[in-house]
Order: sequence, then structure tokens, then C-alpha cells
Amino acid sequence: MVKTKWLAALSDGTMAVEGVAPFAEVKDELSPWQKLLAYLDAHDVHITGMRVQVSKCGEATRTYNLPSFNKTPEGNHEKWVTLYPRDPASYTYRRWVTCSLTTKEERHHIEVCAHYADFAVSLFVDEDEGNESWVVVH
Amino acid sequence: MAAFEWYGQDTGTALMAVGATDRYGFYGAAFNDAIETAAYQDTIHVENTSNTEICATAHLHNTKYIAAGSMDLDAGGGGALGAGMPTTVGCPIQVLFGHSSSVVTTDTTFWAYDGTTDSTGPADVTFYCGEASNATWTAADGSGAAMGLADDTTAATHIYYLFASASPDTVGVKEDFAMKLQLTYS
Repeated sequence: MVKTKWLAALSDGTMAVEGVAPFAEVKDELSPWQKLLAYLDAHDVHITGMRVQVSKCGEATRTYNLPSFNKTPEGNHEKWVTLYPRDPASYTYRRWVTCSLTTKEERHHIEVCAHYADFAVSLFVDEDEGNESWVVVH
Repeated sequence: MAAFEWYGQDTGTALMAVGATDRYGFYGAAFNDAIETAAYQDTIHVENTSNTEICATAHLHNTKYIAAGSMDLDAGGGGALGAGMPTTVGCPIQVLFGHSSSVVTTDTTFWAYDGTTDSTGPADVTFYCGEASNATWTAADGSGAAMGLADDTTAATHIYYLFASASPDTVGVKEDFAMKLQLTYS
């Protein structure tokens, strides 16, 4: 069984994790992501990085990272500093589901996206097998 | 967790569950009747993989393509598409997307394909569809020409009311013809 979840680093130094309080999946409540959006508004914080984790029974957890807004106090990026990576302006998340009306077969993907001023980078991870990911610049 | 439920809406105003291996069928005047080439279906049914009709009592609403902005609903004569033509309950296809918590849905699309490749339209079939209250038909021939459906605000249940019409381009049973729905939620 494949289990995926998003993780969001926040500007107050904390980490929001899908499925973990206060972003738990609870029947008839807002989804974890909608809870996070409300939390960001209420606490005047923003997302500084996002990743997707994939857990499969009997296998090590895999982590897929988006570019992060991750500067040291000196203004240098902590990771791959010589590439001078640009800082995303914002992040979004959503899940895709496609279903055939004939076979009822479903396909599932999770997407996290880093938005820049004039383009965006989307990271897709297959949720059915958990083995593949794709990056799309759009 | 997310889950789809598929229904057929019949002329008896009942909601008919379309099971995992069941499918929607487009026919002539009655189940298993042929549609003449270049004409559109006169009835829509739910059937199983053995080609046995399931909607034995009442059949699904028939939404027949007449022109870009009009349809014949249940052989009641042509009418302009738009609010009330058809009503939500007058649509033959109902898709329910449910989630345990409240989510928003965006980028919902619907299209017909050959049953194998999303971007390839159904073989030798002209297909049109719409969402309740649409003013025009959409030729959703493959995922590249998919019909966009309205976004939906935060809720645990999202319901889509769809109508469709199909016409054979050539003689013979059209099995390379399927429909697909895609959405995003968060």
C-alpha cells in the first residue's frame, strides 16, 4: 500500500505535515490543506518550502523536494549555492484523480507547485505505485 | 479518502447506480437498436459487460444532439441549451465525487476517448457533451479537446451533472468508445 503526504516548511520555523495535528484528516472537517491555508492567514506566516513523502510497506520513505525559499542570514542559499537558485514566491498543492466511466479505473497523482513571478515548477508524484515522479515547468 | 460514484438518471426520476463494470450505452429507438450513421442516439441505457441492459424499468434521459446550441430531450422536441435545458435531474449522467473531509475541486474535465489512449478520440464516433446549464455542446474528442467543468467550493461532496450524445460515423458496433473525468482537489 502506498501512502503519500505533503510537508510544508513555514516561515515561523515549524513544519506542517498532512495528517498530523493541527492538519489532521478528520471526517466532515476541512481538509488538511484547507486547514493549513486558514492557519497561514490566522498566524501571518507563509510557506517557505514543500516536499512530498511516499511510504510503501517494507520500503524506506522517499522524499521529493521542491525548490525552497531557504536563505542563510548572509543571504546565500544553503543548497547548491553556486547555482544561485531563485526563491519561489508561493507554493500550492493539489491531488489529481482521473476515472474512466467505462472501467471505473482510477489514476492518482499528488502535485506540489512552486510559483515564481513569471513561471511555476510543479512536482508530480504517482500515488498508485509510488515509484515515479515528474517535474513540469509552466 | 476520495471516491467516485457513478449514476444514471432515468426518466422515472430514479438514480441508478452504475457499478464498477457497468457502462453507459447509446442506442437507437430501443436497447440494442442500431443508430443510423450520421444520426444521433434515441435512447441511453446502462448495461453490463455482457451487453445486458440494467435499466429495465425506466431508461436514462436521452439528450440528443440537434445543433451546436440545441438538443432533443427525451424525444420531446428540440430546445435551446441553457438554464433548464436540461435540468440537473434531466441529465443522463451523474458523477459524485466524495471525500472524507471538505475539499475544493478545480480543473475538472470530461472527454471521450478510444478506451486506450486519453488523447485519441473514440473510433468512428462523433461525440458531444455538456454540463447542466451549458449553452452549447462541446465536441470533447480526446483529452486535448476536453470539456471544462465548473470549479466547486469547499465541500465533502461534489456532484457533476453531465449530458452526452453520440453518432456513428460508420456501420458497426463501436466498442472503442469510452468516457473519462478528471479533477483536482485540495
